Amino acid sequence: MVYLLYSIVGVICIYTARHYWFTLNRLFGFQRHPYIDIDTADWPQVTVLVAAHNEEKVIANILSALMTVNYPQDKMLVMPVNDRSKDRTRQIIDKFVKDFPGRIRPFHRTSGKPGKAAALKDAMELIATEVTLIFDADYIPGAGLIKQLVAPFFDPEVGGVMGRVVPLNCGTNLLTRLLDLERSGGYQVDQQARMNLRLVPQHGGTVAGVRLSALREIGGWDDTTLTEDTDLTYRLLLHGWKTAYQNRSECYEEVPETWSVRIKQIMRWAKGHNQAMMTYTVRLLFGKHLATFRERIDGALLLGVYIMAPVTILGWVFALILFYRGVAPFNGIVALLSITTYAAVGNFAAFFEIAAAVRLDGNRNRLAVLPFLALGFVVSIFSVSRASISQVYGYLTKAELHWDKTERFRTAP
Amino acid sequence: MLTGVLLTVPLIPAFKEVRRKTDAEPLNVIQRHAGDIRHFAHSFAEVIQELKPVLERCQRSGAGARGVLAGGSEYLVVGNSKNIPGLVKQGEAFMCSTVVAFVAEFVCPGSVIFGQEIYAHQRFTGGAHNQYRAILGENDVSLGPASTILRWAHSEKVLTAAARCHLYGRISAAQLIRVEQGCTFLRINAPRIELGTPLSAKESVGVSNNAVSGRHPGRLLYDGDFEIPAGEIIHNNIVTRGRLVIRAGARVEGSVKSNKDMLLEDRVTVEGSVISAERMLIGRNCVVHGPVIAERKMVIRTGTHCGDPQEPTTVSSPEIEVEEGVLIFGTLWARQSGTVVGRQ
Repeated sequence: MVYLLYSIVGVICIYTARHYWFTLNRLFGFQRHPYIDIDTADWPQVTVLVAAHNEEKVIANILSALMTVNYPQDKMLVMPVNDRSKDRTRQIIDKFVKDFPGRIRPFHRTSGKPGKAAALKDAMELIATEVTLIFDADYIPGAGLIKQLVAPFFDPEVGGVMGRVVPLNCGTNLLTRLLDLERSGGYQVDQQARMNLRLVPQHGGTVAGVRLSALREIGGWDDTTLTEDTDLTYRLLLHGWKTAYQNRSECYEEVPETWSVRIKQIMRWAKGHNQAMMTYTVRLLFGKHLATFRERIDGALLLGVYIMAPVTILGWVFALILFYRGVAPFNGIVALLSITTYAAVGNFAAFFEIAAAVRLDGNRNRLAVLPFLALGFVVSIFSVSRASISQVYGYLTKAELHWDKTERFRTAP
Repeated sequence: MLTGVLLTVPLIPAFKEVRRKTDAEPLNVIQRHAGDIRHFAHSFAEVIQELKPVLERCQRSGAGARGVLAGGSEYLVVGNSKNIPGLVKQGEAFMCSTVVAFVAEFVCPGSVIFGQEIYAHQRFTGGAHNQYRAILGENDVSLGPASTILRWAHSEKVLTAAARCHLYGRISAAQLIRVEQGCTFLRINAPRIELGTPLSAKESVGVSNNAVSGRHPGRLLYDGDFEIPAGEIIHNNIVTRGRLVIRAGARVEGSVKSNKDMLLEDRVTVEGSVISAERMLIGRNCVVHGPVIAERKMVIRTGTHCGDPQEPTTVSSPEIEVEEGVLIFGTLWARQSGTVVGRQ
C-alpha cells in the first residue's frame, strides 16, 4: 500500500510540475499566435453549425450575432441544428430563416439518436464546405470571430480549431465567479501554453471548427461518445492533424448558475473524458500513429485529468490507513500529497495558473475570490469521483451512457 | 483558535469581493473594430465631419481658421497658404501641436513635428525628416525621406513613403502603398503594396498568376525534412515535420507547411498558403496566392508576388525583411520589425 501511495503522489507531482511549466511558459515563454494576423485572404466557404436542443432562451441571441459578423455574407451559411426540441426553438429559427433569406439553412432533426455528437453527425451529411464551425446555442460570437476561427485552416496541417470561452454571466453569484476564474486559467494559461509548446490543445466542441477532409479521414463524428470534442481531439491527433488554439478568438458563453447544474455538467464531462481515456491512452502512448513524442506524453496526461480526482481521494484514503496502521516513513509523502493535490486537480486549472491567467487578462480585484476555489475544488473532486465510480458501475452492468443537456439561465426573448 | 484565524484571514478580502462585486464584469472581448486597420482613420474621419462647414468655407475663401474641437483639441485649418502658421522652433525641428487640416494641395516643409493628427483634403507632400502622429488623406499622401509615422496613416488614394521612413502603427490606403528602400514598417494594408520599384516585365521572369481555385487538394505529411525537386509540379498540400525546401521553378497546387525552416527557391509558385513554424526564405520571382506566415522570421527576395488583385492575402511574421521589387496585394504585417532592403 505504501508503494501505491508513493505512485499516486508521484503521478500528482507530475501534474503539478506540468501546471508550473504551463504557467511559467505563459508568463515568460514565446507566445504562439500564428494565425491571428490573417485579416486579408480569399476566405473559404464556411458552414456555421449551431447545436440547439430546447434552446428557446438563447437561440435568438446567437443567430442575431451571427447575422452581424464581418465574414463575407456570400461565403457563410448558418445551419442551426435543432435537435428534437420541444420548446419554441423551431419557431424562433424559422423566423430568422424568413428574416435573412439565403443565409440560414435550418436542420430540424425530429428523430434519431439523442446527443450533440449524433446531431452533428447527421448535420455533417448535409455539409459540403471544407471548413465547418461549431457553436453551442448559448454562445454569442463577436463580429470578427468567424474570420479568426477560419484563419488557422489556411495551414494545411490544422484539422481543428478552438477559440477561447469567456463567461458572460460571471457576476451572478459565487459559483459563476469561480467558473469564470476556472475558465480563465483553463484557456488563458493551459490551452495557450499547450499551443505554445506544440502539445495538445483541446478541441472544445464549441467556438471551434473542423476541416471536413480531416473529419472524413478520421471517420466523422463518433456518436457513441459523451464528449465528442475530446474524442475529436484525439482522433485528429492520431492521424497527424493539429488542433490550433486561438486565445484571442474569444466568445461569450453562459456558465451554470446553480451547483446542481454545475455538478451535472462536470459529471458529464468527466464521464466523456474518462471514456476517451479508456479508448485512447494506450494507443496514444504506444501505438503506431502520427502524433509526436511530446504530443503522446501531454495527450496521455490530458486524458488523465479527470481520473486524477478519484486517484487523489484514493491517495488520501491510503495515507489515512497507513497512518492508523502506524506505518512510519511517509510523513513527507503526506505533506507532498497535501501540497500537490490542490495544485494538480481543479478541472485543469490549478491555483497558480488561475492567478496568472487573471493577471494576464488585466483583472485585479477578482483575484480576491481565489481562496473560494477550494470550495469549487471540493465539489469538483467529489462530483468527478462519483461520475467515475458510476461509470465503472455502468460499464459492469452494461448500462448505456446518456447525454444530459446543460440548463440555460437566460430569459427567453 | 490560531488555526481558525489563519484560515479565515485570507477569506476576508474574498468575502468582501463577493459581496461588493468590484471586479465581476465579464472580460471585455467583443472588440468589434479594434482589429480593423482603418479603425483609427475612421474615428478621426468622424471627428473631421464636425469641421466640415469650416473646411468648406476655408476651401471657398482660401483663408485659414483656428478653433477647438468638441473633444477639446485645438485645430488649425490651412487654406491656400504655403506655410503652416504658428510653428514653434524646437531644436533643429519645428513643432506643430494642434490638429491640422489642409484644405488645398500642400507641400510641407521638412523637419516638422506634428504632435496631433493631420487631415489632408487634397494631395499632401511631406518634407524630409518630418514626424507625424497620424495622417488622414482624402487624396495622395507622400512622405518625404526619413519621415516617421507614429500611430497611423491612411490615404483614400495612394500613400508613398520615401527612403528611410519609419512607419509605426497602421498604414493603409484605398489604392496603393509604395514603400521605398530603407523604410521600416509594422502593419500595412492596401489593394496593392509595392516595396521599392517593381521589377519590369523583362526582369520578372517566370511570374505567373494563374490561381487554381475552389479545389481542396489532399495532404501529404512527411515526418522529417522534405525537398520538392526543381521544376516539379505537386498537386497536394505538403506538410513536413522538419525543413521544407522547394527547388527553383517548382509549382505546388495546394498549400505548404513546415514545422522548421522553409526555403522557396527562385520562381516557385504556390497556389495556396505558405506557412513555416520557424524561419522562411522566399526566393526571387516567386508567386504565392494564399497567406504567407512565418512564426519567427521571413525574408522575401525581389520580384516575388503575394496574393493578386482579385484575391488579396496576408503576409505576416514577427520579423520581415523584404527586398525592393516585391509586390504584395493585401496585408503586410510585421509584429516586431519590418524592413525594406535593397536587391541583393
